[in-house]
Amino acid sequence: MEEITYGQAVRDAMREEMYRDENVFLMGEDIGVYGGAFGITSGMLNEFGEERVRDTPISEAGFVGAGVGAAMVGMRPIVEIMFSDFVTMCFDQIVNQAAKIRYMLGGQVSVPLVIRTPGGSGTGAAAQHSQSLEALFAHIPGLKVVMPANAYDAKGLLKSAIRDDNPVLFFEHKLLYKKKVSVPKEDYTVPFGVADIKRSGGDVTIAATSIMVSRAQEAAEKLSNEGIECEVIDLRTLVPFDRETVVGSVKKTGRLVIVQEACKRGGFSSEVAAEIVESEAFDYLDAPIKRVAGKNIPIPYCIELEKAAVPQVEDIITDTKTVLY
Amino acid sequence: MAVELLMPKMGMTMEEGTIIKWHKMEGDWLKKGEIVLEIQTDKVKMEIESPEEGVLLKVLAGEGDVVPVNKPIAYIGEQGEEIAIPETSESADSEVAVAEKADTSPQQTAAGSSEPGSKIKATPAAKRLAREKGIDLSNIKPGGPNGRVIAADVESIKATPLAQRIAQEKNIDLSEIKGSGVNEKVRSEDLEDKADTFVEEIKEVSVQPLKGLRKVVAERMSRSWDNAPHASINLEVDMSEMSRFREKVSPVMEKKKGLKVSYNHLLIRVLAQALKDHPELNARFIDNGIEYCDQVNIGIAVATEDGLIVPVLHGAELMDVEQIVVRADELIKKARHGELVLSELEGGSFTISNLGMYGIKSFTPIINPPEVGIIGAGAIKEQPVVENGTIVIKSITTLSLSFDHRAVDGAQAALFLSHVKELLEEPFRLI
Repeated sequence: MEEITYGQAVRDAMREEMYRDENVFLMGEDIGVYGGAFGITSGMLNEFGEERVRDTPISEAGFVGAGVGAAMVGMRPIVEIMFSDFVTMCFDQIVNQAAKIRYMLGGQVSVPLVIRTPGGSGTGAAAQHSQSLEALFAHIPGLKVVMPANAYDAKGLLKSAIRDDNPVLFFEHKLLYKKKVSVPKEDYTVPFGVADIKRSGGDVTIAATSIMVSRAQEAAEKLSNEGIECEVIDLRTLVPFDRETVVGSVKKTGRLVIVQEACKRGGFSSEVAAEIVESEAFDYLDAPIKRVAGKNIPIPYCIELEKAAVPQVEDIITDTKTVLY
Repeated sequence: MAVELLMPKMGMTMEEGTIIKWHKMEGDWLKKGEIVLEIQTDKVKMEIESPEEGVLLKVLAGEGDVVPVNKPIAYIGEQGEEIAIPETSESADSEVAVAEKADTSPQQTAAGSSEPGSKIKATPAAKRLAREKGIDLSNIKPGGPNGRVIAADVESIKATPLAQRIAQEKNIDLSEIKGSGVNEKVRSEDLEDKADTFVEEIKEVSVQPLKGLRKVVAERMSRSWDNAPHASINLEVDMSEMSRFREKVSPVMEKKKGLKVSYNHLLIRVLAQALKDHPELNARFIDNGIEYCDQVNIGIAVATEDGLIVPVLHGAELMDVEQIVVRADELIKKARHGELVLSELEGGSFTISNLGMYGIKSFTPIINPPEVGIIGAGAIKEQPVVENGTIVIKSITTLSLSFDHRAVDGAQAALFLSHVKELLEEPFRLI
């Protein structure tokens, strides 16, 4: 075991998979010479050469499309989109092509494509570089959606994504890149569809994704000082969604708070809430389900307003208390 | 299109089934063939599988409910599908649930609630607990925001079931009563001041509702007693020869099969022969007449923790003692562990009931319908017997035969029983 950063974990996962399988290669803007906008692919051009670490023109639709094609003929491309906001440039390639081809060709081809992209706010990068767009893709049948919250999961989930025969949207978080946790040196994967209970508690369930997991854990620590025991669940993958773990927890606690950074309207937290209301956990709910989410606004440039636009630890504490009466 | 899940008819005699346990809840997704619930038929416990893939849309009968065969107990279909339930008994409840905005919708108010605008707000958890505890939510003081009853409010109600019922009848808020019972539990006495019109003394009596095997036994015994005119005859039998035979054969069997030979086994062997010789006793009284059975299928009455159960040893007339010992012991073991399958409970043509191990001398067994005869075996006891003018000690038992006088006459029954006596007293006749 060794403490490494989330960014290092992503790099290690890619490197190890590239040594394991010669069909794995990288494409993206500035990932070669420059080492990636966040330095994730730093050094990989020298290590693997231009054939396998390919700098692309500024044309997301073009190189994601190339990735879909390469995947169809047996390669395992990992495509980096510099900011997750730019996925909107290649919606057709992802939604109409990658997600549909295997189905429409009756399973004759598959699309083992990974699209890695950092999302989230907190860097003062304003409205076009700070969004959390995972719900758009969770809505599309044929795509898997993964949101690791720490270095361990980042490495294990990325390996699962690369080995998966279907297109996977892999949402990293800019603010998590520097965060360290212990990660084993030996090969491991984290399976899709298995949520992680970060902390056990009997009073309220807090389900969170990505950077909101650590904020929920911090909120839970503080609430614990007041005698409130929260069960914090990291969903890890939105598609597939680990309904069973959340249902089981809510049956125990009777209360559910869902935390996401994305704006509230149409977010994945609404999907979780609906799943729970439709499940056998309904009869155990003793309070309304609470969504703690971003405001329904573009992310502001002003650093204080940016903070106010997305859930902070204090927001999670305040909102969690509204369901504890 | 939603499909009905019916209470199955698992045998000719099954008229209704009791729901033991639901393994699935409304809203659960069912795979075809998945276990949905467990029922008790008139004979065995059974698991019922889902006939279709789909969502368990509606459960019509709860655990403990008794449902006639071929009546619907649940609906399976697609999520959100409308279902038409023929009976109206359920509709009152669902209308209460619909009357959400009672004050803005007078029509719904009239259907759902007797007091306009008095819709009780409670969390799903509180409603579930109230349902489980049989508490009326209107008697609970809401502790949540917006006048909402929460689970803790329901849990805080500590009252005896009787007190809860009185409180409901007299419209008393239990949370305002200080209880005099253990842990301040509210007892019926505590409500007397509040309910001044309540003078009648009600003693709490523990009535165990008839269900499961108890109910089945009760019904079958009543039916037999009401329909079949019982006549009983008793005969003393000298078991000395049989006793000697048993002492010799039992160690052999124990060595060979690890099983002991009991008087019951030997009695079955003798009955198999006697019933073959007297087919009028090896019969079933059915709707359109008397069915004389080709095989001798002997039911063995077994007392279990749940009640009386009668597994059937089929084809006893073709079995030797060893086969009888093995099969009878297997059936008795299965009966005690509730592992009998339906075919092992059906098709009996005669029954044997043995109370000898309790020291009972003789008794009047009740016929196991639709059979026409049952033999009751009493204890074997050494007794002085006058033989050729001298007193000798012999091992004596009393056999009691009850028969259905519609099918069998006294003389036939007497001949049969004396033949049984003859075979028991002179076992060599079996050869």
